[in-house]
Amino acid sequence: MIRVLFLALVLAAMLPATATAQQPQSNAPAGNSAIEEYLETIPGSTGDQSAGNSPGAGSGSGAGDATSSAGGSGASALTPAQRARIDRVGPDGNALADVVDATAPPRVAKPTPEPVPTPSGDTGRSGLGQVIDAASGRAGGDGGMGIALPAILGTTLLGALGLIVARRRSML
Amino acid sequence: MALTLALLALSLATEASAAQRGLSIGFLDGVFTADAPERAVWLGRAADSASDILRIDIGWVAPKTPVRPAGFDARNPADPRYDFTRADAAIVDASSRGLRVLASFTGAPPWAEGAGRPAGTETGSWKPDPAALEEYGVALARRYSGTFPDPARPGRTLPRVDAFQPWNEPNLDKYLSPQWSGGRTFAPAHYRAMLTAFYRGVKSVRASALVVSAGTAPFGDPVRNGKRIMPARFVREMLCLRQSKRRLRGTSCRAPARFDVLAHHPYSVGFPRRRALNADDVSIPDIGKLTKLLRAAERTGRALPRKRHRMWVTEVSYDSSPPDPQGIPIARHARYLEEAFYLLWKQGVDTITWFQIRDQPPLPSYAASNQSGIYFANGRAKTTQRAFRFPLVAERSGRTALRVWGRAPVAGSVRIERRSGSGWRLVRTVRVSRHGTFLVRIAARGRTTLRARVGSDTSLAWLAR
Repeated sequence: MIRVLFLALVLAAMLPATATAQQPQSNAPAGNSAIEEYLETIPGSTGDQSAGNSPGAGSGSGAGDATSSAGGSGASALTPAQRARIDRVGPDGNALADVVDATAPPRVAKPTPEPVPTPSGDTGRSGLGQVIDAASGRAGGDGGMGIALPAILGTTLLGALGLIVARRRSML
Repeated sequence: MALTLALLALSLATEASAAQRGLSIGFLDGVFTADAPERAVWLGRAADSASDILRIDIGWVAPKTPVRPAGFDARNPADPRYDFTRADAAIVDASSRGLRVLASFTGAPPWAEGAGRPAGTETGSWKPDPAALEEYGVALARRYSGTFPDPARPGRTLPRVDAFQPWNEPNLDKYLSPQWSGGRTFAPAHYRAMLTAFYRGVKSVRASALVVSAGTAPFGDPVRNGKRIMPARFVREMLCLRQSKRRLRGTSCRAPARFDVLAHHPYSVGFPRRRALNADDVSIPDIGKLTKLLRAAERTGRALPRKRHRMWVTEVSYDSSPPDPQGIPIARHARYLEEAFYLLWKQGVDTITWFQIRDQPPLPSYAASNQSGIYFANGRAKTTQRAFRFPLVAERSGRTALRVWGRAPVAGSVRIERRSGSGWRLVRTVRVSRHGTFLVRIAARGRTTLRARVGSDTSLAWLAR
């Protein structure tokens, strides 16, 4: 029982970090994935995110061509063929594809020779730094619980560990 | 029983009065200021598609010098340093085909920009001077008053232009910068000053001319210091309002915005009924976010003059496939256009200019260009052209009833027909004026395919579920 509880707590502690570590994504109107003025930012788990950070937010270079799909973004989780099949269903299919895109894990971005401009003022912090910022709500936007969330999760984890140790000692 | 009848009568009366609201449609396309032969062909196609209005980008045609030229009289449209040649020709040709013109422009000449434009900022976007806009408003209203001599046709006058639109998408730093300054929004208040000054200039010449606010782009960046401000936020601040929890409150406003029409560009991700994901973004079904602000501003004297302001959509479209491989399949493209028109009309929009009449070449790529025309680039009509000319939409209003909306390309009796086996059966007839809209309710259960006919025109069939 305690082992199950422990595992659940560890998973719970990991979930927010995984969610907040996702890159902000955006949706583009069909066929216009490289026109960045008309990209829709998908709200992130820490609140709002900048479209400029999106892998799909091209700068008019046509880079969005390879990964974009009808009704989806340049960072779509679906291939164009998959997207087209789902789109054929009509509005319901469209909505489903959007949900898939919005909830899919981030793709690993191909290395690019030029840094992607970040209107949010991202100064190139490490991945861990970004995760900490995101978890503490410092990663831009107005959302997030601040330092409270990691503190609660950490305390819970320590409590669970303490419980296990106490239980083992009592069994000796 | 009496109550049911009363409710039914009320519902029918509401639909009848709703159908009285017209819908003007047309295009924004650079081809309307192209050279004469090409322009003539496409103006003809616009008229053939039952258009009423064209948004023509005439530009701010003052000299592009860093310093205002000595002696330049910006209020005088006859000043030789203005070059209205292309604008005049486009407006004359459009008017001769019975098309009304919305004359728009964006981008200031260097002398009318604010000081200290940072490198990398779009030319013409930096803190445009409201006083210079007022002068240009005077010049435009004088030139296109209907009485100004046409320099290209001695003895004749230039046509009257009914509506002017200063700027494009002022919630993007591409067109108006900075969007933010010192951690606070800058563009909404600055655009308010630009719009009000331009209004003053136009109205000082002709009170009946309409001043249309710049259409806002549909999506913004949800961060401080972004390149785009979300449109509902932009309009809220332009109208001196703020959102306090769930309530709208006024902010102090020394010079409220003055305009006749609020405009927006609800380009949408996905199908026309899909709402924007962010609260302050505005896609096709979200126009109510803007009209709510507009009505609140009217009530509190923050949208002047004190009257009901109209709502226009001065750009909207979808790319089609073909030719754009990532566009909307062509049959659905037509349906999206019809549904977009209906949804916008239903939300109180009375004028829509579709971007654009013909596809752009895929330069530098399909993804970075627009293939949203109702004609292919070679002039062949898409199915969407028929939808544009005679849009028809049916939506379920109950288990046994459908609401049928359309816009007739010509005056006459519109026959609404229902598919029955391999033929069509008449279910309703409605009298309409030329380009008039109709909204009727018919009894229908389950999947129903409808079409409408008037004169020699037949709409596309619409399948309602």
